[in-house]
Amino acid sequence: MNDLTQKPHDESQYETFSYDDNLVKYFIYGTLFWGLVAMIAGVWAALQLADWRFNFGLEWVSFGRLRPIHTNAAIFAFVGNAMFAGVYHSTQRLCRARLYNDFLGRVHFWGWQLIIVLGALSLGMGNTMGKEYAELEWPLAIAIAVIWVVFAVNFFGTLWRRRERHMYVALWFYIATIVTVAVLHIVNNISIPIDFMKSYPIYAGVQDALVQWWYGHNAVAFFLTTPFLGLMYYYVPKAAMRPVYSYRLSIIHFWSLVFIYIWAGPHHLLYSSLPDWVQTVGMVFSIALWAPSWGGMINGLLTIRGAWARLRTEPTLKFMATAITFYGMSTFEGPLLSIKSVNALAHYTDWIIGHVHSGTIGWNYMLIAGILFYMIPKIWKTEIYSIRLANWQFWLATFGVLLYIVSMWTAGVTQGLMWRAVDEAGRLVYPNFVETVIRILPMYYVRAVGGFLVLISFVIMLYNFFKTIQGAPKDIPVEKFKALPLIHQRVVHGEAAHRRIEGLPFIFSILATIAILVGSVVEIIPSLIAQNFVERDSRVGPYTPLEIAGRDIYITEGCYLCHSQQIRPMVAEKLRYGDPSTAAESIYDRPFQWGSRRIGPDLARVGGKYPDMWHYRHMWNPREVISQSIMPSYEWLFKKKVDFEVIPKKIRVMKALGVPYTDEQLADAVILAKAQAEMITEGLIASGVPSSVKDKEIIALIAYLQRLGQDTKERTKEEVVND
Amino acid sequence: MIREVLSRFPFSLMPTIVMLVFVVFFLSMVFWLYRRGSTDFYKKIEQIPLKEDGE
Repeated sequence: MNDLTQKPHDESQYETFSYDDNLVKYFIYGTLFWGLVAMIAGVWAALQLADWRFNFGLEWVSFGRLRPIHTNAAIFAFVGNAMFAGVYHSTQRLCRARLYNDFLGRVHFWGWQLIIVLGALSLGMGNTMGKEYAELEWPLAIAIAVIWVVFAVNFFGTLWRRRERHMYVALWFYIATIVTVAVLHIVNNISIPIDFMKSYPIYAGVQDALVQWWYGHNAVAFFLTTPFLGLMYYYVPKAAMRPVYSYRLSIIHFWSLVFIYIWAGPHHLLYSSLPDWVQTVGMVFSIALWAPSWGGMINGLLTIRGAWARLRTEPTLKFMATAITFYGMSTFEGPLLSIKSVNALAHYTDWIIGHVHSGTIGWNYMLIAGILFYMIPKIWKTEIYSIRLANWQFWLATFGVLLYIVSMWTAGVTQGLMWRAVDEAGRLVYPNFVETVIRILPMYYVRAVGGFLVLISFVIMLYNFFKTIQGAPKDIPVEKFKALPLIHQRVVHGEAAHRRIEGLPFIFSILATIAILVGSVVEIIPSLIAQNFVERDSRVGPYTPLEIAGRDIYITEGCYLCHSQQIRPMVAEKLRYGDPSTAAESIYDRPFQWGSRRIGPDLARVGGKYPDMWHYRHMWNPREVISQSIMPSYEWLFKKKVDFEVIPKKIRVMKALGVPYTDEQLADAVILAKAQAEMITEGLIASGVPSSVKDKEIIALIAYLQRLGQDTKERTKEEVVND
Repeated sequence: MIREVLSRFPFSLMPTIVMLVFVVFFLSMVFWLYRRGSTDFYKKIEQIPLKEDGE
């Protein structure tokens, strides 16, 4: 039995306890399983972009549906399970206490896995909120909140029962994670249900964009970063067998990071119709992030000082050192991309994709691998099966992620330069968007190869851990520890105020919450209540009932993942797409559909650009109208019927949210939708299309696409008369 | 009332105001951390993960 307090006390004052490592094992299994799923989905999605035929004409796994499955599986399933494993393992040891409640731990584990499975199925079925990384519809969003509360109760309960007076800095990062993710998730997911798997957010247009990217950016910050920094501060000293380089620096790192990170969300909306001051705040704080991020990176790397020689032989340290290096690289690149002039080139391009993968593969996967190589032999009381395999895994993963990143940098810069190229006469050098797609296709193949190498490295790790666990001794006795409860531990007189706060989880959590709420409130509240935040435009009206139905199909198919609807105020964009987008134009968009990528062209003003028949043929087989298109076919839209009966419910919710529909429009919603569908179909029949398509989803989608940009379009007299 | 105040607020000054707030917060934190006599405490705290825990 181990005395964890190491102080002479009366023996009777000691408490005996054990750690709940079975729960940690469950989360390790979850990490390994979902990591494999996420990476397979990722490689598949990469292949779909390299060659559209990898969509296989299947509705459930077309790119627009597979991509959110990949991102959700990578972030919430793979990284999420790893985070829970690490937090539960390290928290018990940092607190010298068993988890607060074993049953809650099991509820947390099985609840999270159930959400992941249902989430993957619902995304495949096309049930999506249409907001990146927050796609899961309202029943699952509520389930996530409930399970997160279970996690929080178990974590804070453990802190409450701890036998270590001081809360080590890793625990601070976990507290910030738990509090902030709860705030982000709840605020971003407030929506009004239409039916069991469909809802509309209470925010619209520019407000929705601001809230979503406040969430989206900080999901990266507080789900992929802060918990793993906490894990870094625990596992790197353990693996290096020496304390953190500077504990003071870790405190500076923590408070600066949580204060600054929350402000940076608007850097995802630079040059958009978001007010300039919000964009500038986002940019300034993103640049400020350089300091705490690099402070943390330097602190992590210097913790390994004196142990560098062991990198050659110990996979744990090798993966951790590489992860911290990637953390440094991606947190250098992030602020760089937030500088407006750099962002003007990089936004909507594959450069961003390269950046996020240097974070998720380079930082998260590498650190998770390092932690697992530390944790698994300790928990199973055994040795790693093969260091040689671990080395193979390391080099394949490193080479793979570098191939991935470099190919995406190349593709991104190429795209950005081609989009903006203008000749001496002021014309676009590459007016045909598909030219800019074809040019980067070789890079898409290189990316798929890089991703495949990372997948292979993961499979090697799986095999290595399988053999490690298989070879572990069976029936390991539960290890007992003893330590003094806090009430018997000496309190130092004159203990400073910060020391006391650090010892009070509740007050510490309140302070951390204030730190993240300051930025959130200042950025978001004006958008919700200031009347002049969005300039009104009397020309912009609500969507017709059929357009609403078509818009929801657009969201279901994940069109926003490849097409933006936000034209930036730049010469090349004006030449290619038309006038810059205004905030007023998306005032009725719930959710907003500005997008974050242009694998295909912007669609903000696509309405009226092509005849209905062009869209009809394009959706049936994009190669019929653009021979080099990489877009998948959407043949199921020609078979599936529009659910006309649900349209009045949608209109009712929109009306309740303030969209100015009249009572007559609400009462006649189905009639109006069918009448518009008839009108579009009549035009198509003249081109040889069968009349049976009039109630199919393709007609609703055409109605929506033809509406985009029409409200603010300058019309000729003839067009006005015809309308 | 709040809407009125927000509508008149000079939001263009916001990046400067917030950065000043952060700089004050940051400098206070640094001075606090490096106050006299705190080194021993941090030396003790940084050892927490390395305490014997059966591993």
